[in-house]
Amino acid sequence: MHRLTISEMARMLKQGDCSSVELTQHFLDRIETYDTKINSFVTVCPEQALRAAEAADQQLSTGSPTSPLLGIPIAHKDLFSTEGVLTTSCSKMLANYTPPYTATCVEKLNQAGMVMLGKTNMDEFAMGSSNETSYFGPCCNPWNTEYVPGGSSGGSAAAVAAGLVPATTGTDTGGSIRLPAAYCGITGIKPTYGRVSRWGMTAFASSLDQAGPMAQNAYDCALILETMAGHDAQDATSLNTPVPHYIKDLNQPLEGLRIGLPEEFFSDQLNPEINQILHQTIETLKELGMSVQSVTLPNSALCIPIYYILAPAEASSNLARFDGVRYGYRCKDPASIEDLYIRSRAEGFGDEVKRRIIVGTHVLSSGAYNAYYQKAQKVRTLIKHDFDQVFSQVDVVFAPTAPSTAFKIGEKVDDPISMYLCDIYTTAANLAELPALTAPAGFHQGLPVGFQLIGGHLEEYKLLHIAHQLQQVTDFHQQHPADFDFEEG
Amino acid sequence: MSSSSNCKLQLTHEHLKKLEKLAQLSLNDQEHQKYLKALKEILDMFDLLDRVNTDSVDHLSIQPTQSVSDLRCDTLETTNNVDALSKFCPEFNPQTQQIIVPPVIDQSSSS
Repeated sequence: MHRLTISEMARMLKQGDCSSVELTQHFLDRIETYDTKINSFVTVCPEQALRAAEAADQQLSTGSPTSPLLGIPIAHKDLFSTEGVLTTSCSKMLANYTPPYTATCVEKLNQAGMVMLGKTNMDEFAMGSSNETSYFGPCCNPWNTEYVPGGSSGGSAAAVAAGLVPATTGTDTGGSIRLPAAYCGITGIKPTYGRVSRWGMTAFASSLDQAGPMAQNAYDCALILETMAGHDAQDATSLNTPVPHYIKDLNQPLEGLRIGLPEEFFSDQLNPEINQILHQTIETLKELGMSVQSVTLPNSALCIPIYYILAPAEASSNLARFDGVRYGYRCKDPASIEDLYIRSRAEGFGDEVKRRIIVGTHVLSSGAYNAYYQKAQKVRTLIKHDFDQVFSQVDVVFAPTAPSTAFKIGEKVDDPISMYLCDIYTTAANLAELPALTAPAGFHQGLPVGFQLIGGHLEEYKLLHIAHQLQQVTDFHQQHPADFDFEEG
Repeated sequence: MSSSSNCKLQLTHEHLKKLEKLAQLSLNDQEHQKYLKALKEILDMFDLLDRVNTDSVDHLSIQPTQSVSDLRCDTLETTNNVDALSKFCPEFNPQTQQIIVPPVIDQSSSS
């Protein structure tokens, strides 16, 4: 059953070939058997899941399922508030925090009848590119457990790749859906900023954060995104525009669509073998009728420095709420209110979080604000203009997702700059508020390689369409890691 | 502070101490050394910004609020979620319905 896509599972459920309870129990059993190898889950809720599955089966028995997602299991990144279920952001600061409410996008999926199996591992407060900073220990890549799954949505990606759940939710501030999706060989999409409500999502960088689905293929991502997306009055940045029926035109041909290849992204910083694999994908897209031309993003080299100014700046503000007073970790025997704040935060946050708070505090401080924060905001405007120019010439941008495949656990943990450079191709889409998708392109030395598509504002449908068409003529998305018994069931 | 203060503050031990205070964090000696080295490398990376002239760019031209299509009405709403909130407060007095924290004003030092 774990080899099936969501649409195949939905068909089985509708036809009565299996029940949601059977499906749910199957994945719960797999989590119990295999998750010790990869540590992708931090909380599993079997009783709640089976109750939701029973409710789904009752609805299915009426013969008219309300949603194609009814009865389908899912897991959520552990920064989405889930009422009554631990929501830790994988930090000691929130290790015992149980929210009194559920995030809007999760509630939408609940209302559609999806069955939550649990919460997935991640980098602490979504700050990281490898899922090594989690308070609950690193997550491992199912393709080779000595390697990272990518981050920060590492647990979400690894759980799908290992067949422990058919789909997950993730969040993407600088690449945190796309990078782990690429490293783990699955499909993930970061929607246009504002497409999905951020209400109930632990905030990292409020002008960059966006939630999205991660699944085995573009069609399943489209199904989930259609339900997750939409206006929310509780999120002032959520867009009040209709959500398209993303699966409607997925089977249309690709003739006439134009791809742009940014010359800056295909430089010698990219591993040559990965470059070759990506160019094979480009050839396949040409065979499907797309035309290809070179484009330029002249300010793209500045994406990493401005991202690592703006995101930490916003994080330093967002994480100021964690002070040991109303919720979260509180230090023992505080001598004064100042001692309470300082020791609760020093003891509750991990290294990378503290480092980014300090960077953010610095770039916002008097004397540094103009040179760093204000300058970065201006450069962000230039990057947006670069994309506006590109999308006057092409329909989508094709790019690498990462400069290499996954790296070994521990390899970059003491070298923050090297870690930050993993995001070299992904931060541009966040800075320009544009949608971006990753899907499998092949393998290099046994590890998955992903390609990235970046689209214009609210053009998620183009990205899903192209990825879906590609997945009709390739089978990289149907490959699975060896040690998770994909041969059976 | 003059508007021409595009100067970049050098990250010294003393400045890092000031940042700790601003950020309400404290670093032990080992962390202090480690962070100082890492932060200097990160700030060096930011020097790339000097490559581009942004004098003519309006830095407000890209803001999330560009995308805001409507705002909630400014109406008063009352919520009573003390029960829910009290469940995860570190220390809570159910009789007075107050969160317990150390003294804000240190009365022992008052004259």
